[in-house]
Amino acid sequence: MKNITPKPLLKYWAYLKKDFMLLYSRKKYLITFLLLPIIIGSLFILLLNSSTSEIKIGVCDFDQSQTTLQIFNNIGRFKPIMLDNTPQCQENLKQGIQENKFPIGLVINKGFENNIQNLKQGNIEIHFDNTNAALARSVYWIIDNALIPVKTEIIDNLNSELTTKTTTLQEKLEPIIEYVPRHYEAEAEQINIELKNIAGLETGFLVEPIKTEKIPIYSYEAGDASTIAYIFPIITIFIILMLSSTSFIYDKNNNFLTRVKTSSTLLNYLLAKITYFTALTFVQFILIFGIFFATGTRYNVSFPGIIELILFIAIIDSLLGLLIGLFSENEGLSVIFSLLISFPLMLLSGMFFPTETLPNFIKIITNILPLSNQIIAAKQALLFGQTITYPWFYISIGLFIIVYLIMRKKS
Amino acid sequence: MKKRNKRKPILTKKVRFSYNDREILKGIDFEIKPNQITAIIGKSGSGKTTFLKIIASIIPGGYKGKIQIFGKKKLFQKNKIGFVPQQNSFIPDLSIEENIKIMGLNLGVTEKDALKRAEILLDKLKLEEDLKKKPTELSGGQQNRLNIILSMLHNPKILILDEPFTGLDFRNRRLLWHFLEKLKKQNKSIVLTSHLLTETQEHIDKLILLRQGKVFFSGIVEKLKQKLKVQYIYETKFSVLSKEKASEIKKYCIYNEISIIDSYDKNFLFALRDYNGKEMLNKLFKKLNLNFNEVSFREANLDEIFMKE
Repeated sequence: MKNITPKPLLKYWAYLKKDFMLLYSRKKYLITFLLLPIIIGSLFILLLNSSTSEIKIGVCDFDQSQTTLQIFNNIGRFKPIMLDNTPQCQENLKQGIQENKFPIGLVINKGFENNIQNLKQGNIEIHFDNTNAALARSVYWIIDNALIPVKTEIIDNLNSELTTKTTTLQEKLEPIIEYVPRHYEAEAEQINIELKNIAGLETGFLVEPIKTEKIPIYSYEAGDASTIAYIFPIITIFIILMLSSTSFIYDKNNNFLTRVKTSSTLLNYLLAKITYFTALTFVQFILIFGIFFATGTRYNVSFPGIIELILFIAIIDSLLGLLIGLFSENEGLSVIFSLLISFPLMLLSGMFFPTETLPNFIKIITNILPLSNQIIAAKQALLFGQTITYPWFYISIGLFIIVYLIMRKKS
Repeated sequence: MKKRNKRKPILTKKVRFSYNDREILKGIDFEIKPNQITAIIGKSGSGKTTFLKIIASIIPGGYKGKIQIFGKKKLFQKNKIGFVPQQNSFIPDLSIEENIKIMGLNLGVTEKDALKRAEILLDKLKLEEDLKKKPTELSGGQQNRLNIILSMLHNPKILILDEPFTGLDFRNRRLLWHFLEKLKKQNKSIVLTSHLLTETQEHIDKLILLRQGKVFFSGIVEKLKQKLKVQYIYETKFSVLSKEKASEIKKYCIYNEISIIDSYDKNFLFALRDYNGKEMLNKLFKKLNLNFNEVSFREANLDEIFMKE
């Protein structure tokens, strides 16, 4: 039976099938490709839910008072490890941090409770490993947060005492007011009102005179689900840039490109490459989406938006990868170039650092970077059930033409 | 259809090509006929590889002039050409069978047809290996034959081979020549480049000699001998040869259109246009009182003609 498949389609199928066969035959690539999203996705889920774990904390309590005992009973997520109350305690604490026995140490000096009882500030020293970048950035915030219930309790106790005392004063003052000479009557009344105000002081006001309240504009589910909007484009740009650039170098080094040029067109080859990487991106999406979905994250998805998102990410990332491949002599160099591009893109994506605090010129660059826009697109498609507003299609066409022309010229 | 087939397999007119402001091809007029083996030779930088790459579409554009394959633009005739690159071109991580399927599809042939065609070619090129093996498990000669098979799965009318004999031993070279001669008998046109000139001259029908981006000669080897005035090679060894006498010999040769294509120690290799040249040289040696031995006197081969060139 004569085959009626048009020849350009057969050639397109050759390039597509070749890449799938290669992925299957090169098991290490296949395993890495499948494992990477699973490992990174799972790690992110673990990191985001790490607040339930206890943090060990070394303690030198030189005060040994009721108040300090109260602090360690109420310090929440921390598991205090009380060190021997010797003059070397502080040295032992430092050594304990250096030897990774605990990441943070607290020193409470003698007189802590006395100070508080006399309405003076109690001082707690926080010792930490300042070479541990992530912990060093958040140590004050972690300890202060943990101390809030203790602080509240201390102030609450003081406030109760204050209320009792002022109420007693007030009660004593009230019968006297009647006998106060007429020209002191107003002043006595004023004292009475102020005593009333002091008796009515709120503990909340004393702990935090101005209370700030964070009110998210989207649902809490959307907040939880937003992680995937970052993870999916970030993982994909890493994987697709590397696979795309190395696959082009592989074809070039094994003279497959020579065979393409003698029998077909680079256009056909380029289209097949994009189709292949779109399929890989789709698999990546299913894996990452599946992991998040399995751990309880729920989305408000737009299916046309998801299709657009996968195409947007796959086309732009695979074309960028091919561009890297065009300017790299070997696979090693293409991996380095891929990292050189994907790493800054990741840092500027807004996942790890707020881009809003960056200088203006970097903000402008960030706004036009592909990864930043892919993240916005992912939010639209996965969180808000919208289609994508970014003009990805026209940008893809433009990039496609650039890659095609460079490929033609360089080969 | 018949009329089209009668057209020349490859016809080029005034093909020019520059790269980085350097003119590599300076107007190449070239044609081959069916049932012929044509060799393109030339020194390094003469433009032979560039010319082949343009015909095979590896260099897809940027040239001037006309290139026709069976009377049509080459863009539409890619399926008529099978190009065998100098370096082996297969996918090392796939098996021979998978390579055949993929390369077949790349040439516009279904997997089934590619395997059928490969079976015939494997037999002709005596490559009886397990198709589940990877190409990298084959010997150098076998890899070379596989490279040719993968270029011919679409049964092309024209086969272009870039230095196909590089790195092959005598047995494998003979096998390949026999294969090419069989193809010629099947109405195929074969164009190749090779640096093994003497061996090549025994098998080819036509020779194209490129010089500095132009066709210097096109025709049969005998005609090239006439054009370059090299019919015979006379090799002599002198017992004693002073610098002065060597200089005398060189001067004599220049005035009498005799070429010294090589000289080392006291040995000289003279290229002669006819038998008379040998008599003239012998008289000169006698006149100069030189004792010599005749190492050889023979018909010039292509390597020696090329040295003269």
